[in-house]
Amino acid sequence: MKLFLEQFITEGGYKTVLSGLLATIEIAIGGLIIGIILGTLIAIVRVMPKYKIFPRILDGVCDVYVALFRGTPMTVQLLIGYWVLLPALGISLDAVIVAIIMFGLNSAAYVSEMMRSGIQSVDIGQLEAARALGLPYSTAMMKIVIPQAIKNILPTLGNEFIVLIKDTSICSFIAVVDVTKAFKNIADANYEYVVPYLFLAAVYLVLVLGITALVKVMERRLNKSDRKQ
Amino acid sequence: MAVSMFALTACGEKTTKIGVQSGTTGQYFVDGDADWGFDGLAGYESKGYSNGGLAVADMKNGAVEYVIIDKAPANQLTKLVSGIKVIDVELTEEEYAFGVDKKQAELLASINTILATKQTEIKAIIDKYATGEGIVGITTAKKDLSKADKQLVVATNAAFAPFEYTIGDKFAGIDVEIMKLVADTLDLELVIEDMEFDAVVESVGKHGIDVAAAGLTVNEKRKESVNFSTSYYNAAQVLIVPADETVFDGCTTAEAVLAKLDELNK
Repeated sequence: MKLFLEQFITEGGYKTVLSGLLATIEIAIGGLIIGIILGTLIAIVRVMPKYKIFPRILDGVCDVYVALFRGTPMTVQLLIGYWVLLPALGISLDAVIVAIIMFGLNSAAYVSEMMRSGIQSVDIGQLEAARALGLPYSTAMMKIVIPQAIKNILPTLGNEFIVLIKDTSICSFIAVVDVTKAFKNIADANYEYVVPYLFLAAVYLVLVLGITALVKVMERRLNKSDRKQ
Repeated sequence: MAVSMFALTACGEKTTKIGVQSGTTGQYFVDGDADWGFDGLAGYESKGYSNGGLAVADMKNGAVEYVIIDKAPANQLTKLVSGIKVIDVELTEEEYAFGVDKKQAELLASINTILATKQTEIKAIIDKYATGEGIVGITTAKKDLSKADKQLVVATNAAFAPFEYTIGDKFAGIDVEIMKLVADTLDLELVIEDMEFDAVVESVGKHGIDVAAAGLTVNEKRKESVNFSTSYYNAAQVLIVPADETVFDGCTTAEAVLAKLDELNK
């Protein structure tokens, strides 16, 4: 404990922990935002009526995308993206930005499936009524169906955010110092693991409890208009 | 099925596990590797950890029998962890050098010049870490790709004291200080990119990383990825055992230790 406090406070280790925490939150939030936007687009493609050839091709592309990103581990995607793909293309990027993009792409695959089930859970009558009132398909989707779908899947989206927060601990593979790496460094400096790892677990726990509380508040707000409440 | 598997284990040769840091010379030494010129230890296999501290902790838990790691980190470990000791016999002969980006011949030349002309300073750094006195962490800059030509970006794994480790939010270690010397001499800002050891060599030349400084042993395989500077340190692998283990006490040569390991496994 004494060694930990020395590293953490006297030597300024808390600064690394704070910047690591920032990186963790940045990657998780950035990833979730990209994931929700891209995931929604994919979900719309997948529920679109497929009488014409173009939607069918798009659907095939999305199929491959989801299979690819769900079928390989996040760590492998991160390693390939940062150390193989980008250097092969001659692109140098900040590791945090790469992490946000890769987590976003990965998350999109999962969010698209959540969103698809969310869209399908909205009564088909809603879309039919909107179309009968003369709204174009895109407007009916964006203004009528998607908002209801999001409300339905909010708890699962909260889940996805929690998963993202915890998954960011693999970012040290691409030289991002996240909150896990920051505590690992403190542990490695003295080869003393118990206290730093317990603190690390506590930090994640607080983060996740925070997110859980936030999701609950949002759910309550969205449920205000519900007649059943 | 369960019975046959049990029989297989019983009939097969006994393999004892030795803890190592993943991707380091010790791992190739235990498992054998043609590129490194190691035959491997018969009857032993390595178990890789992300750093020596965890390997030693797991040795104390009983998951591995011994740990093989570079000598200087081994001595650092025994200073901080109780219940272990180093068998003071050098099992290998190797040299540490810096791995420089193959596209930067000038940087390689500069580093070699500094290693040649600043030997007093470098010796002072190495001595300082041998005694452990007067060590102050070095504050480094953050990588900024827009000023790549003003920064010396160094890839390392800061879990390898006394060569590279962290003190709070700063970096310390022999490699870090030599790189600081290089950066100051060339009037560059020092940036440390701290990553997993397995990624260090491969990272050079990518995303603005100029050089790998991570207690890297010169080796043909690694030469495919980087150009090595001249060597700055003679290193060796040593064996770490629990403090109450006495079978290696009489050993004075590498052959004696290896013979003993062979005997123990029979």
